[in-house]
Amino acid sequence: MVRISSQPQLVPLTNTSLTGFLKLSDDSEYFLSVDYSCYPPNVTFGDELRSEFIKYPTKLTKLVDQSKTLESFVENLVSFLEDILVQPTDSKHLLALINQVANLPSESVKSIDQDFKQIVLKHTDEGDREHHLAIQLDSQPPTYVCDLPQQLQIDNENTWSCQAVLKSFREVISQYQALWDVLDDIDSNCWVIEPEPFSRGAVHRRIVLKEDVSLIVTLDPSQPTSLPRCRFLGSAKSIQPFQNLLDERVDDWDPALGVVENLGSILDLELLSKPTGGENAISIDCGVCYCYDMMGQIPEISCNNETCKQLFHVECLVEWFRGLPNVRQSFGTVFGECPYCSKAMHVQAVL
Amino acid sequence: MAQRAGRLKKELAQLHKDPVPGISVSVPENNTSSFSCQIIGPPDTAYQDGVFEISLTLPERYPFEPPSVKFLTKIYHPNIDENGRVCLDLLHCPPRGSWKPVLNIRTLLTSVRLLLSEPNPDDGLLADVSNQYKFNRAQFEEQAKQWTVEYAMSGA
Repeated sequence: MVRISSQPQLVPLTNTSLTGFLKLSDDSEYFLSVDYSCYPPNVTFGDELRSEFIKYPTKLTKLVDQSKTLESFVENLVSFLEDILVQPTDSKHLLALINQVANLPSESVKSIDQDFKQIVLKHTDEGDREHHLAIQLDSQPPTYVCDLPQQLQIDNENTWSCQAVLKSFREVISQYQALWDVLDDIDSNCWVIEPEPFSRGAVHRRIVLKEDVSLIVTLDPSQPTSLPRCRFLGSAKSIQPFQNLLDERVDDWDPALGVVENLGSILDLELLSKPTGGENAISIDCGVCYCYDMMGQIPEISCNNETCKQLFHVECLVEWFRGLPNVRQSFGTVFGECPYCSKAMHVQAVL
Repeated sequence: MAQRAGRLKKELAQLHKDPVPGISVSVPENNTSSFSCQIIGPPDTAYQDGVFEISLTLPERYPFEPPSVKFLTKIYHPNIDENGRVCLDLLHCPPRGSWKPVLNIRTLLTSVRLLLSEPNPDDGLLADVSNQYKFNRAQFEEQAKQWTVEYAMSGA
């Protein structure tokens, strides 16, 4: 029988299983039942712990992997729970932090959340681009979330201060000015479809060259105007001419010019810009064949659901319904579900 | 089938007008039932930076039957086997699957790309890869990354 001396309320059931209550240093108690005889072990939590572990979906597996025996599992579990559930109320530390934030220039603070767990700093660079840095204070050491080509490295943990973080954030941003100038040039002069969503951290762009050919250029952040890594996407036949041109004229790449200009002259191409407008929200086409006129028929059946109202050709809908297993037919009427919203529909089949 | 031709024309026009992020679709001029597509490995996954060749074939009864999708590039994934077959419910008609004529080439390929970021080990085609994904994620990621480098990054 395993008995864990520090946890007297966990009762051993067999050599490899325990059930009972886990007690933490702040005297809080949590229900726990573990059967360590199989892999993965069978772990049952009470409601409070279950809702805690939902926030850390992979943590349980990690704890299990770290722990060879049931005793070490309980030990690791307790130390993890102490970290997340038992927080020392260090008011001095908080006060110092508030002081620091108050001393930051006001244009550099974007937001502070209510629990004082996250501070978002902002910085507008020379090219008038705005950058954000979120400092997560609820972990020790704090973690940083920002959209830059590199991770933010904050070294001296002992002398940590908001000012120092802001300073290194600005330093990193200033390194990438040339890169972003080039990328902005690409973004405003080409039809760019990636990165999606847009990201300052990305050093690549996917550009549409013609109908079914696109090109991924990956820039070197330290020399953004030098020849980027190029990868064409499309059918082998349609990308071959572009690849050939690039291979032939690779020496003509002139770092003094912009990437857009270079690509245009090397690939012998007027780079497309993003087509604007022409987006019609209302569709009067059939939802199955995507057409309006199909051999003289127009979409005349509409879904009765007010929020759907999708139109269909009678023939298209009947054809779809007939292929389904759960469709009833009574006399000439076929009953089924709208392929869009799944509400009940019926259609008079013309034979 | 009358619906097929019209729909294909519309879908292609739309794909060219508004290309899908992460996906490239091209049609061989002489044959309009087989597409060669490329999926760019989603960022922050083991497939990042890889480009995966896929063939997509439209059946005679499209859009009443789903296209068939096959990976031509080798990929290490719980739902894609060594012959490139993909296990995804959208790729089959009811009652086995959930294909509907509402879906199209665009949504289908987007779903396949989503499957790369979110494998579904509970409906795995390959039992051992699924188990590895579920119980030994680190080893899975390493293997998948290695295959991506080996097979999907050669054209770069």
